[in-house]
Amino acid sequence: MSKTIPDLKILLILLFFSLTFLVLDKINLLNLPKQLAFYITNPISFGIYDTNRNVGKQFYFVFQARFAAQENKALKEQVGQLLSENANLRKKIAETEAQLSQEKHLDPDTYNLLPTRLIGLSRYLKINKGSLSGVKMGQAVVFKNNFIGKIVLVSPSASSVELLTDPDSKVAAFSQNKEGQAKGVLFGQFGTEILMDKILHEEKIAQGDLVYSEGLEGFLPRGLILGEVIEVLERENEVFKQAKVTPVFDIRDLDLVFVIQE
Amino acid sequence: MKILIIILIITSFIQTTIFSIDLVLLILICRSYIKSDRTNLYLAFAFGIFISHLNLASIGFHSLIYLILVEVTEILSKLRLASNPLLIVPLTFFLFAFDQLINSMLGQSTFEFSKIILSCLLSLPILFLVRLWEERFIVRKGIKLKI
Repeated sequence: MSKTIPDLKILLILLFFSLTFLVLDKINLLNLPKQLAFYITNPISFGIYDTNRNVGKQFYFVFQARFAAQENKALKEQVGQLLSENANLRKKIAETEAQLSQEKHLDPDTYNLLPTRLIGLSRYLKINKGSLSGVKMGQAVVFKNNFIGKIVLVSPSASSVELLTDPDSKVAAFSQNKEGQAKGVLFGQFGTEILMDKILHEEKIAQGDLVYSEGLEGFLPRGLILGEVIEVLERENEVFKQAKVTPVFDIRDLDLVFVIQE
Repeated sequence: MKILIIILIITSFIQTTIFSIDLVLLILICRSYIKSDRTNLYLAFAFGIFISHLNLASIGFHSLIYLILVEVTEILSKLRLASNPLLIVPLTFFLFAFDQLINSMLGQSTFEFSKIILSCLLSLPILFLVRLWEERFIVRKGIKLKI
């Protein structure tokens, strides 16, 4: 038996002692030594527990900070997306408002209006719609009831507009005041001015008169505002009178213009 | 031996405050599996009392279980199969299952199967660590002094 079970004697003695301790503890005879032992073991247990808790807190803080950083990044991206979406919506609202305003001046049943944005201005005014949107050479560009110019260059997604001030521009026009009309032809000049030429001497024109399109070109409706007379040039020895005309608004203030399509 | 006792004291505090796996029993089982020695019984008795004190259990309760489990391990370590260190895994499983069962039956703790699995996973690395420590002074056959 003792060969099969090693240290049987010691095992039995220790088991006996264990049982003795168990019985003594059950009848509360070990309370005093247990209390004394607690004076030593309790602070150590508390120290280990507290250290573990503090280390856990630090790890939790690091985890939370990392999580917060990720959340912050995601929220920033979301805010960026919302701002972009907001800007797009505002742009669309502005376009819709401009289109509604435009339709008050030119009947949408008569004219097919294509809204376009201005994307550049040098000699020609550049707009963001081209042949892919149905823009063609010679089409008129308007804003409300003002004529801006005509399409002279078309690419798939952009077009160039020849303004009234361009030296190649030539438009039949008439001015109107209380005394009557004065017919002539508007020629673009270098700079911001336009010259209205071929006005007969007997026709009435004065400073401050508005100049309208005659509509003889085909692409241009009659009655669109072309500009305002700032000076009348009248010489006795010449056959025709002339008048200096200036656009009624600065083209650079516009965001949206409309192409009159067929 | 001093270092082993210090390690057992530290693991006693750790298992009663932070880590709920019975590391002391695991170390004692691993040592008994490697080295059949009456010191194992003394350590089982002493640390059984210490663990009972730290766990606020009845003094002597853990000693009884530790002594029985260490003795069973020593008996099984004499089997021919015991040369295979992997045998420690199923052995730990059954011994810890027995320990958990006794503890749950006497209302000392609830039966948690996850603790047994975790103990089994820890048993092999602890066995190798204990073996490395216990056999640190044994010269291997392959090592020869060059004169």
